[in-house]
Amino acid sequence: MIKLVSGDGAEFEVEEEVAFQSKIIKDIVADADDVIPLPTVSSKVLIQVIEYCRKHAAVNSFPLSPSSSAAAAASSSSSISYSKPVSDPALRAWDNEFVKLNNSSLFDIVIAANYLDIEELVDLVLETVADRIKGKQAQEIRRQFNIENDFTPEEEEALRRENSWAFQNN
Amino acid sequence: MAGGWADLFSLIFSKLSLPQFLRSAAVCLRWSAVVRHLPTFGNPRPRSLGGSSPVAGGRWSDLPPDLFSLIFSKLSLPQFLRSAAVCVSWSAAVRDLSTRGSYFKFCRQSPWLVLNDNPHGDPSAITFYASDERREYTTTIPVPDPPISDRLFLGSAHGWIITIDARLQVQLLNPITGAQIDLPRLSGAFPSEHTHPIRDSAGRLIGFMTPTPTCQELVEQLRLKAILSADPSLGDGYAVALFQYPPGRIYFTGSGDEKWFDLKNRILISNMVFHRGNLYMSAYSVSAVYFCDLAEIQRGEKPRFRVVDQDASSNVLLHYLFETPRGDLFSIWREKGTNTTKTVSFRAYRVVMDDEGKLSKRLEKTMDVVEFINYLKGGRAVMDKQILQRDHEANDDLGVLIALLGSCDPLCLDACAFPHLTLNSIYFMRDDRFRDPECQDDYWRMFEERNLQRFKVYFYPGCDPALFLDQNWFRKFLNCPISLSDATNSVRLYWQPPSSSIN
Repeated sequence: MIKLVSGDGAEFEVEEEVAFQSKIIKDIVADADDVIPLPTVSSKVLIQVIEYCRKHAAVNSFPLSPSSSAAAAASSSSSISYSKPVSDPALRAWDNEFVKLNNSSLFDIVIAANYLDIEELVDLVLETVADRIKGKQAQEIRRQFNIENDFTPEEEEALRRENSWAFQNN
Repeated sequence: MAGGWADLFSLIFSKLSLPQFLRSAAVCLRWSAVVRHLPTFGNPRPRSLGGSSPVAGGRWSDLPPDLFSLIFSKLSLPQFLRSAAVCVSWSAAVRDLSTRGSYFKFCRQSPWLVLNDNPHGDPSAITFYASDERREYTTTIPVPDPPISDRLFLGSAHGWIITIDARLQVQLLNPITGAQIDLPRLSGAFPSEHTHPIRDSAGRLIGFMTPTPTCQELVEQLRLKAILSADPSLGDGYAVALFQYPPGRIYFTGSGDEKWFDLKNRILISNMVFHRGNLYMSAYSVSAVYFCDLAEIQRGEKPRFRVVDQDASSNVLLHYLFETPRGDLFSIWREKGTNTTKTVSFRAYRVVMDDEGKLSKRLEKTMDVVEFINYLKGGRAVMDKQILQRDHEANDDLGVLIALLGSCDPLCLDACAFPHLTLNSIYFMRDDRFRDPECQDDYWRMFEERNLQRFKVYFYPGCDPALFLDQNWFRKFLNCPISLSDATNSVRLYWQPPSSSIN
């Protein structure tokens, strides 16, 4: 068991394969009963991240068939690398439920996942964010993500003029 | 003084990355104690990679740059540009990513349509239909001469369009920035000096005619297709190949070259594609994929065509060769039954080449056509849909893409924009013309006449864009509510949005 300590001092004991969903933890853990302080992750966020890791550790623990690892090796040789989509439909459905959160919770999770280097979780959250951006104009994006418009009117106008075609209303 | 030391430690450790911070615990007992207790200190905390502290409610205005890059890579080009108007930091992120060239890639750009429509009569306007956003955009970037109505669009890749004008001058045009690169004139390469432009009733260039040297009464229309190997925005080192059919001849020019190089060959080429800067071709006469090392041309040598992949079956009906947006080279052989022209099976290969252009791996999957569902009837095209029930093993084959194969150039779409289609699928469009035995005869006749050096107009099935430009096809199959009337709003081209730089 590995002990994770959140920024607000809460301790979480998790199995190795759960903690190892984080590449950074996997790289630095020296012995099995390490205590890992995560000073920038609050316990609320850590609970969510551990929930995700626990689910994915359970699903990913099935051994890959040899042919699929051959295919993966071949695809990694291609010039552009993309994160692979989660192929298990049940897990994909679970992921879709997991990210039904407000944008500020998603922000905390993606910052924590990025910090801990959990690539699939970063990708999942950012995919959701990209979906929430799609088809929206700047004003709607600001409202959605609670972002202040810190442009001067002149700056904003200049930006819109630069690529005016992309700002056409449909 | 203990508190002072702790402050100092936390200052030092705050400058470390997380792994380095945790590794510091192994230095000595005292450091270890500090590392273990630091998180519970009320004083400065170790800096997180994202520069954020555990404060409730995130600030989407200041994401770490790598996360900006990840989010924005998932957007369409116009959505990416619109995001710049959200706030100062998003604007800076868009600007930064725009200058990173090939280091920033859009991971899913579906081809757009370039329409013949010009609502305001503006000679510099180009109207697009974004199939992923299901809407039109009109750019009015000043386009250098000649006006686009006086050009033929020969192909598109990496955000650029390859055009040819009435003087047989070939250009690379970026419709987003208005940038243009003049390529050598083609006049020397064409068989006849007396090539005449053909125009429609509105005066738009629609083709070229050349009197054939062997038969003066026979006037043929030149059909051209062009491909581009790399994004010229990223610098030199790109190449353009032009395919003229009939007679299936390939011309090549590299960045900075002053003429078109005729890749003389005896093979009847059906299609060509750039893959990692090299030219791959499929042939009608032999079921094979040819490879042509362009470095040989640059060295002034006569390039050789080498067979890199072959299908032993004599029942190949059509062969599709294409590169997916992920950068994989696909070779798909569509096979008919021995006594019928009906497609009965197909073989899909991913051709994996080593650095020297030798075939190093061929990932094969043979599938029988189990079921054809008539998806759409009417008009010229009858669509058949075949969904591959892929197992886990084959999931990687197409990534999250959908390949559409008919009698024309293969079309690869990103599955995300078309959720009603099944991802990782190959959809086959049934092609009536190719099932028609008479057309088969045409094709063989064409091949024979090619050898006799007599040219006549025949459809090269690999290059006929008609099927994927059908109105019903967009509406019913792609779920794109686009209205195309023949005269004013026809499709000129599939435009491939840039995968990276837009500068």
